[in-house]
Amino acid sequence: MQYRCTVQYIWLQFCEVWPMCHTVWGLVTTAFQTPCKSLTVASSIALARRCSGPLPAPSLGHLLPRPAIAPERRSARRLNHGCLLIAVTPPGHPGELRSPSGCSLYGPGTMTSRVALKVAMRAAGNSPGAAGALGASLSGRGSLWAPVAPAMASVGTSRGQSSPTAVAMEEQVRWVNLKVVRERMKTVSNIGKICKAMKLVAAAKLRGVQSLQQASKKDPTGDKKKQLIIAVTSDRGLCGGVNAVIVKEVKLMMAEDEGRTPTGIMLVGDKGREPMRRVHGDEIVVSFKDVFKAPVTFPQVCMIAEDVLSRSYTDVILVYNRFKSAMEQEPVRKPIVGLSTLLESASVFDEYEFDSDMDSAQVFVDLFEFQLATQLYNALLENATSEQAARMSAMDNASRNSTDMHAKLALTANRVRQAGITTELSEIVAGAASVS
Amino acid sequence: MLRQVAIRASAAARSAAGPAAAAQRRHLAEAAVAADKLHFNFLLPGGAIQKDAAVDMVLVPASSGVMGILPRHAPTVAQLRPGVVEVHADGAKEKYFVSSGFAFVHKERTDVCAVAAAPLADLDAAAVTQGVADAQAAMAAAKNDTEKAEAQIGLDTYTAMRSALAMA
Repeated sequence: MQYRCTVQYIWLQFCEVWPMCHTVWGLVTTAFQTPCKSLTVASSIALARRCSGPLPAPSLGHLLPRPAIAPERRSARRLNHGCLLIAVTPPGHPGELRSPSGCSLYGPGTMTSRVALKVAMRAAGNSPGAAGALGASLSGRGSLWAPVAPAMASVGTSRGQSSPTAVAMEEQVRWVNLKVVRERMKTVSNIGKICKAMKLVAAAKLRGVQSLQQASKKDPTGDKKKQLIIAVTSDRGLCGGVNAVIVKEVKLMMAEDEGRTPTGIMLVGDKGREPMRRVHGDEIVVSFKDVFKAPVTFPQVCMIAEDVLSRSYTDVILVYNRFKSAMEQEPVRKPIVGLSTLLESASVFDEYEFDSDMDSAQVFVDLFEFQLATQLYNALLENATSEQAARMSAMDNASRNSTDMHAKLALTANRVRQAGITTELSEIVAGAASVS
Repeated sequence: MLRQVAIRASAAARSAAGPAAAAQRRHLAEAAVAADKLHFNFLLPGGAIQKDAAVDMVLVPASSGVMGILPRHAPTVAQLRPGVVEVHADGAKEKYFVSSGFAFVHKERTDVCAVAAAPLADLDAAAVTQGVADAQAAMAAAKNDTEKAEAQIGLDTYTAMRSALAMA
């Protein structure tokens, strides 16, 4: 509960400061080690200045353990002793910052305003003393630091002065600076942890909301889309790359879809089964084999088409190799107009009279089935042709390779044979020489 | 419907002499035909019997009866039942037995898309009679509705073939 308030408050403050505080963001994401319970905007501005330039006069506002809260702020949010961001309203003019009394943190007029913060930033940027004065003004109530604060103010205001007391003061100031910085580091890293946690929470919520959003996306056809991919491959291998490209095409289609549409895969031909089963085994609904054993006939295709029709799919996409020439075959995706789409665009058929014996809806269904079977037949034939052409060129290459290999091996064989003969001869000669 | 088609096609194939060629269907060019002739395409899955032919009249066995298509016929979609397609061109009549399919009469051309077709002369009378007997036996032996329907389809087709041969 405590944590939530803190986080909320910090976040709100952060949002107010965000548009102009790039440097603040930079320091939050920097890796500081020491935790610190409180961080004021002003001190963060000061620290930002530190990151970018020389060390300014420090501000000690954050060291106040429990500063009193402006009445209206108290009513607006319940604050606790945890992390506390205090936004300061400096007076409008930078010059006025020099007087600590010019800033009243705890007065009724202390409301955060972007303009005021902008001015503060600018002031902090312009004069290092202003930041110190700012901080000093924050620390107006802290009696603990009272001896130091005026010194701060004096250091802040009197820049360039080099009196011995000032030097001694500076030394003291520097040690305090270190402590201050360390405390700030603690705070910043705490903030960082909180922000990281918030980021993870938001990421998880985003995932949930995104899935809802996608589910609610209206499909152009209106009702649920279920698609069937019919991948046509060959039964036997040694046919070049025709099967590999089909498998690749189907994988590409599934990847493009990203699982949005419930998809089923129908495989016609043996060679598509193993590769598809490895990757999309769950989506395979049916697989036909020995389709191309004999030349494809229309009744055979009718059987396949009947199987397709017995399943309820809104879209059917044929993936097969189109035969362009004996050298060239390319994979194509051919969507078959779905029955629902056909029925919707039935107005095209208005000018056609239909046979009076049957009602037009039945004719439509029959026409669709006929169209499906015809296109499937075409796809199977094209793929068979592509398969044969690819096999021809693949086997042509293979036979040429084998001829080359044979020639090389013949040379090697000759060389080995000759080496053997030479060895035998030399042995004989040596033997003869030793005898004679 | 496709099962019907398949059975009819196989019945026609069994009785016919020549096998259907497995060729590609090609995109039909809109050839210019004289106004008083019918631009006619007779298409099978495996090829075309007639393509871009200019004929006088075509009789098709539509499901509601025999339909005659003359030039400038109103656009029609007709489903075919087993029967004879007659093509009248220049006084000559060519008869083909078709198992089933669709006939599309467009404004500028007519397509008869048959699943299986054979010239009537190629039908063997003896095989047809045998087929009728087989179908009747199958009908009697049918155990469930599917088998009965299949047998009925076979019977219809063979009977149509028989009457086609009888009329020829």
